Amino acid sequence: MGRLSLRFWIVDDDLRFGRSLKRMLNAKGIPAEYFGSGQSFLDSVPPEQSGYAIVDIHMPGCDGFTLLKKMHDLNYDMPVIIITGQASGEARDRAMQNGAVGYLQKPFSEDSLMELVHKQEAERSTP
Amino acid sequence: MNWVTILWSMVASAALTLGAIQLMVWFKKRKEWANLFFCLLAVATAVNAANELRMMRAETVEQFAATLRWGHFSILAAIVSLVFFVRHYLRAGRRWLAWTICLMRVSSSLLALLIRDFNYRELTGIRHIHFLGESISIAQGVPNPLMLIGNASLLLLVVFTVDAAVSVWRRGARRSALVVGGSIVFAVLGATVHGLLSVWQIIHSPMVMSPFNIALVLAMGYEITREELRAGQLAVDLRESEAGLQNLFEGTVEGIFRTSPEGKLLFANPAFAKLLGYDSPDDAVASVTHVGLQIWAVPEERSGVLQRLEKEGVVRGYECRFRRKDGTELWVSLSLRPVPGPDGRTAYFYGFVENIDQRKRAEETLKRSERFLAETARLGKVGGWEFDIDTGKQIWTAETYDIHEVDSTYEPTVEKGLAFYTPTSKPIIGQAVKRISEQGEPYDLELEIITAKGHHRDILTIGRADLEHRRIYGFFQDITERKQNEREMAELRLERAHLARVLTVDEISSSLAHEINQPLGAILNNAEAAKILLSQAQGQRGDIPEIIDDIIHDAKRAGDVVRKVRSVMKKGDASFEPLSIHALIDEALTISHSSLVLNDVTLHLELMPDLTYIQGNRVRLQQVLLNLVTNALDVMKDTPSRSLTVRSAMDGPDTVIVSISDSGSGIAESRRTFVFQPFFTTKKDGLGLGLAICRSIIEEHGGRIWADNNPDGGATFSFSLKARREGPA
Repeated sequence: MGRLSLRFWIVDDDLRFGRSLKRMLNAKGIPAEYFGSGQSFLDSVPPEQSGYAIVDIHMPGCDGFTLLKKMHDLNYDMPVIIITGQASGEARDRAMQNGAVGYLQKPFSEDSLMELVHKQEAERSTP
Repeated sequence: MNWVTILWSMVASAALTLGAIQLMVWFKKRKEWANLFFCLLAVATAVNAANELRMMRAETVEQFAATLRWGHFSILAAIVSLVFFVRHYLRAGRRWLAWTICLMRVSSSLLALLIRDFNYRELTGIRHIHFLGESISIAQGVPNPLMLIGNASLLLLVVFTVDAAVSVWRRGARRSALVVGGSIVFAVLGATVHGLLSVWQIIHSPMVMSPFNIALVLAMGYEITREELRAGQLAVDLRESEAGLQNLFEGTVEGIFRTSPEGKLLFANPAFAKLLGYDSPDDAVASVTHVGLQIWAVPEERSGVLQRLEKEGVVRGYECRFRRKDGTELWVSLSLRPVPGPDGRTAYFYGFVENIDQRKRAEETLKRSERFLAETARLGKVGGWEFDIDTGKQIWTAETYDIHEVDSTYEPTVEKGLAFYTPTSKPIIGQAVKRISEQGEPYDLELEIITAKGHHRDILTIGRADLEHRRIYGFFQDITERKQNEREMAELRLERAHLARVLTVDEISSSLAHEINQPLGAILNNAEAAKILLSQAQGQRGDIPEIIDDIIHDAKRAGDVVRKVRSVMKKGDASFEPLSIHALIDEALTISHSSLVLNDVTLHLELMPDLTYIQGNRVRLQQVLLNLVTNALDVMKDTPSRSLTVRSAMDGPDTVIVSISDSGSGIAESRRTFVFQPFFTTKKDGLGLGLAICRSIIEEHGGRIWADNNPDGGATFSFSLKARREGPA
């Protein structure tokens, strides 16, 4: 896994949070793009695109779970990490059942995100 | 003066008169045979006197002899009459003797008629002698011993009479024995001796019996008349005493009656008839054939009383119920006494009844009202008391004893009564008693006592003064249960309030988490980005001011959220204040904002402008609104189109109504009335307390909460609150 191949697609209706996350990843030299809604993400990023999608649950119109389902239906290959401001075990379970690779509760540190990604990368490279 | 004619005529007429009188008596009382025989005796005496007179005036021997012969028959009649008079009057004398006398006399009379020389073997002639100033004839001849048969019968008559008199004497009727027996013995013996002496011409006297006869008739007449007079007097006395008794029977208010041992009514006085509703005593006697079945309300009771009667001889003042003719019953006091017949067994019962119905009913009413009072006192746990101000002597009712758990031997006094109070209650009641005793000031206190058995009791004690009679009275009521309930209710309210707060805090904290985590997440990201940028080359630091601006903004945002939640929570349990319902709605929706967004719920606000303030508790009303909004979101989870409408309106000038409508599946009609019940829930993990708490909060505010189904689907929960004229001061 090369550093260059790591890329994040951030989907969150909260502009300030999305922008801050993008800013933080970019500062670390990791490419990241921010989308204010699930629809704008689907419109801009094709299914064959690599990278990680970081999706917020609480979004008007199309929430995180709906987006997850849509991505699955549209054969998106990228792993999805679900994030949320609310603490709920139910939400984590639901996220994992719907094919998310991780679940993070806001506020989360850069380390915990990276740890999740590295673990995922390790699993992907070993069949 | 020719005395013989005069005297003999007098004898005849006197005898006839007495005979006539007794004949009349006999006609009235046919059973009195003695009177008839006396009458016959008198008539025989009169006839005999006439005969003798004729004999004494006889001119020839033939004339004399014929008269003498026929004279036997009047003597026969006299003797027979006498014998039967004795038997009937004295009810004594041997029957065989009587018949022997009669037989001997009849035979001597027949002999005298058949044999010419029955008295005299030879009647030689008549001689005139001077007797009582008159010249009379006496016979001269040889007497015939045959005539002694007649004299023997006379002696037998004497024996018969003496025998009868002795038995009468023994019976106790000594006077009758002497008068009747003595006069007969004297007269018969006298006549016999005189007859024999004159026939045998030992004395020169006419052969007459009339003086003896008339003496006998007079003596018998005296005796029989005296007896009649006595009987007459007795009859009068009896009538009088009967009349008196009758008056007593008829006039008395006591019912008097007589029954046969079998129970047939034999006699009843008017009071008895009246008491039992019969038209007359006759009606009662005719109608009542069995007192047990007809008169006694409980027939078996009569048998019991009769058994007692057998043992005790008399029953007095037995209280029982009698049945009237019309079937109604009345209480009587009954006295019964058996009257023995000749065979010694009870011939009948005499009974006396007194009407005690009114007394008994009054007693029953009193008993009933006493029982009623006691029961009421027991039910209400109310005990009465009163005490004399001067002596301090106290009276308690039974329930007061029970409340204090003392037995009936306890003698209450004011001091002892005060000692039951708990240390905190004692000074209060002490003051109250002092004031009521001195100034007549009434009291009405809820205090606590410790009973004699050590139980703690809450009591309501009420005292009123009656200074005019120097007494104070009042009651105790055991209100322990009520107090306990009140305490439990208060605890329950507290618990419920606490639970409500916990639930609200839980709801709020989950919203809060999201609202705060969002800016915190952003701050963290921005801070990390800034840190990296600062460690890098100079050229890229240009973004830092923008990053810091975002950090400041997010920190403020988090602060705002915290402030808003605090503004909802901080007032705690503060009392009611004027509130704007729209401000409350706004706060509630702010807190619920993220849930609404997350659930993709479209919010509609239909708020009435310039809505009146209401008076209420901010936190508690906020709880209601949050609860209703949360419920609305929950029921719409599985609904594709989710919309929430919050309305406010006025219902008249005094009532504000707030409604929250959802587009869920509505409430099943069967459940609509239960949704406000505690622990009613349709949620998998719900406690079912939310709506119950909402209701108790709204009711605390004097309002009402209800649920309806919307015509186009979903449900509407509404509550009303009292409008307040002015805003906050």
